Amino acid sequence: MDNSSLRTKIIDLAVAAGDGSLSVDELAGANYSLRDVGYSSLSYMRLIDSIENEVGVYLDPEAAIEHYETIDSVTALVIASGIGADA
Amino acid sequence: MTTVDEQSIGLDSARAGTGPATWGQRAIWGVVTRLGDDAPRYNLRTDLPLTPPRPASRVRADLTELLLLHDSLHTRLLPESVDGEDGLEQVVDGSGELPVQIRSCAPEQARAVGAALLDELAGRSFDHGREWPLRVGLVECEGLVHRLVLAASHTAMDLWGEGRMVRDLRLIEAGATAESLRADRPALQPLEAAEVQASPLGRRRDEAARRYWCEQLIVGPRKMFPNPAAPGLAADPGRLFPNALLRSPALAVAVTRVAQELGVSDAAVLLGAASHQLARMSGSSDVLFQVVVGNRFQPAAAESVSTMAQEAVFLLTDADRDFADAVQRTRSVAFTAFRHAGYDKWALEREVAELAERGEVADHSCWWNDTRDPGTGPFDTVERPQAALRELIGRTELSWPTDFPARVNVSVAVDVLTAPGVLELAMTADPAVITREGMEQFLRGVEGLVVGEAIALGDG
Repeated sequence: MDNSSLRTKIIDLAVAAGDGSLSVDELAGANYSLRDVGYSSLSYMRLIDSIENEVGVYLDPEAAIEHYETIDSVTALVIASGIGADA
Repeated sequence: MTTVDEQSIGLDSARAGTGPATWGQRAIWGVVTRLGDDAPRYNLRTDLPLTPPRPASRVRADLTELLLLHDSLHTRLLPESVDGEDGLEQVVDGSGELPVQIRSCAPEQARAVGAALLDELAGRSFDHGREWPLRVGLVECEGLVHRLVLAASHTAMDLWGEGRMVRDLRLIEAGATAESLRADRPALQPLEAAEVQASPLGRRRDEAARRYWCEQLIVGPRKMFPNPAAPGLAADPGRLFPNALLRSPALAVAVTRVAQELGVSDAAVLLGAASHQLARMSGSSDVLFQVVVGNRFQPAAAESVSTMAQEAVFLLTDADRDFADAVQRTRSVAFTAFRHAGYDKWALEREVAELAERGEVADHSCWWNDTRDPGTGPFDTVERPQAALRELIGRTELSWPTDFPARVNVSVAVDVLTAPGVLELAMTADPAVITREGMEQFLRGVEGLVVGEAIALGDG
């Protein structure tokens, strides 16, 4: 999976892990900042689980919440974690 | 007059299988097994009025569907030895019989007879190796069942799971089947959860969680209460732990406002406020809570009738410094703590015991359990009050519902609960550590911090 496809996949997972009302358009309107769309702590946990299960990567559990606050920072974290390590 | 009868529910061709127990099953099984005769206090109790009343045959059929839906309700747990280490195996039985106790009485006695039957069913320990973790009682009046009572072992479900079980039973009563429910909302079964936990991903999560726990315990405060209220009491195993309940409409309103302003969840506001208040009162500026985490982040986990909740270790340094700072750092610290809330508790307990032997373990006797369902708010069924917070805070009620027997490794335990129109804080504390006055000061202090912040924001 190239980086662009990975980013798109993470956007989809982030919307699915939201609290039901989040859309791709709303996320784009917030410059892809999960914090700015009021992403809940439950949603962050759901997103991490989804990425690990569906992308097949183990995300560093020590990574602070700041690494998850934008789609770009999440994508960077996933790339740094090595895609497919546990797939 | 009450008459007594016994029937049974026959299960046939249900899902079956054998595998290692999940982390949740192991954790609770370990606790209740150690408790021995005191284990029934961990049993979960459900008392359901049936409106309208139903024939016993229909109720038994409903319960059969429920058993077909959730493996944990027909699972036994058997100790085993794996490579010389203590293990625990879950055995999901595909067939068997579940006894049903029947009491017949006049309709006006149904409530009392149901309560007595539930006491009887929940008052005995479960033999997890021989029986399924569910006991059923029916109260029949004039040929129809008016009340259904269920006693469940905590090894089968946590409180969230119990809520899902009751919801699914109601859906079955309304016409759903195990098959339709499974298709609509797949629920994670314990054998599947155990498989994930045993995978490379699960093992890495477990190792990372236990490593994080130990790191926090090594650097955390050795004493949360350097100046306990009555240290002489600590040697008395018969001392009672008071339980206080604060019911606050003002807190229910203010917590949302403060959360918005600080850009955190309301759960972080409450935990941050509790940490700040405890640090100010206890004399330890670093605060360590064991925080109960549901671990139900994925939809299938949220649907699961099983035991998944475990404790996270939450350590907030310099918690006494500033309220807003404590709350904002709580968001980040809680996030990392929650990432480390799934692990093999038996293995962690061995590691913590080694730390304790070396005198390297922090005081981890303070507990925090935010039991609120994110889908349920205090103003879902009642109108949000229009009164100003300064007036609303005068409507806070503080009561002392009960006392509990002494609890091991508990100095302070706080539960957050939602009720219509209020937010509740329930606190149980060791009188050797904190007085009743101190408990009241803590609860009103948490409320005052949050409400005061909201007033300062102009919501007075």
